[in-house]
Amino acid sequence: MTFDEPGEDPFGHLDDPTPPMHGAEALTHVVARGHQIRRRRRTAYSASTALIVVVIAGTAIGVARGGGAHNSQTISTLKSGSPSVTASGPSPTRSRSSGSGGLTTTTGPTHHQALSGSPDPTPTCTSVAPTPGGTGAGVTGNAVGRPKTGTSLSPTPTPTPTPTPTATCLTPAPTSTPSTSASPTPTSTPSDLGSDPAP
Amino acid sequence: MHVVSFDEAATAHPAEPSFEEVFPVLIRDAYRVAYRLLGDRGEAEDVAQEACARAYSRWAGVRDHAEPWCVRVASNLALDLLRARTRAVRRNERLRASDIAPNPALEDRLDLYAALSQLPRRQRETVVLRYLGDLSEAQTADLIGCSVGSVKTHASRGLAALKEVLAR
Repeated sequence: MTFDEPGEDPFGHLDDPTPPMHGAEALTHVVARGHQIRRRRRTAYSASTALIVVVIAGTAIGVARGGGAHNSQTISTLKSGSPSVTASGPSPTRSRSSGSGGLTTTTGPTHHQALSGSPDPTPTCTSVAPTPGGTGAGVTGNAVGRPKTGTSLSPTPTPTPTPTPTATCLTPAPTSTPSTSASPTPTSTPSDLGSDPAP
Repeated sequence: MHVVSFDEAATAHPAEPSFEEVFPVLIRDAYRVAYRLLGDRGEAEDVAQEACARAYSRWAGVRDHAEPWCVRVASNLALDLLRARTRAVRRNERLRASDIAPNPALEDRLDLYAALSQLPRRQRETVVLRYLGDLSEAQTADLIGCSVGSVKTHASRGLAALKEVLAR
């Protein structure tokens, strides 16, 4: 290989002395191959586009589910009726609970209660059965810390019930009815019991 | 020549040539550069047809500069084949030295490929397109994306470097 002749083609000696003539057959082959290349390129483009769409949709669904779970947790906490945010004490600490407590701000002894879901000392009267004996309140449930005047689980057939048992409970009052065996007025409400004693 | 209808030809501008019209020129140039690099007629034909098929598959984009584009694709394909061939020769060097008779044409191509591999990328592209592909300086400049003066500079420096490497 020499480059001594500046005016000539330096690589001319590498040429094919009898180059082939490419006719219609070559053109047909080239066109068919071109169609195949184009089809593959379009397939690859469609597949990559579909993959991108799937990835974006999956990411969006994942983000939406994460936000939806957080919102439902908050709503269920609010519906449960138990206060999930309690601020008491000088140094509140924030903690995220995984149960029904949600985001709670608790201090001191109420911390474990908020996390474990145990009843807090707020007066939540779950079920009150007015005892017709009038000697005490038939309190069942988890009312902790309430001053009790006495418990009477077995109703005494005293004909004059006193209104003291349900005076502290407000929520179940309209529907609570005294037991038929104890009270002579089955439809009397606690207020009725207090104002109108039975004969 | 048998005319095959395809989409680009139907939508092509009347002033612009269709693929069938420029196909003889494209495959001739592609074959020349492939044969200069490979030295094998069958491989050069395969490379030339593959380059033309790729030009056909994206004819709308390469219609304006189909000839230099096809020469460049053919030279790249031929250099890839040369690279693979060099690896195979190195792998079977002992077998080749004992059993296969030396082929001067193949030796020339391997030497040329070895010398081209030592050139900087810009000089290698310029030498291949300008001298192996027989493109003009303007076409080479347009394809590489530089000025005609830069093509002249790269071509002269590339040839000098090739001469030096091949003289060793």
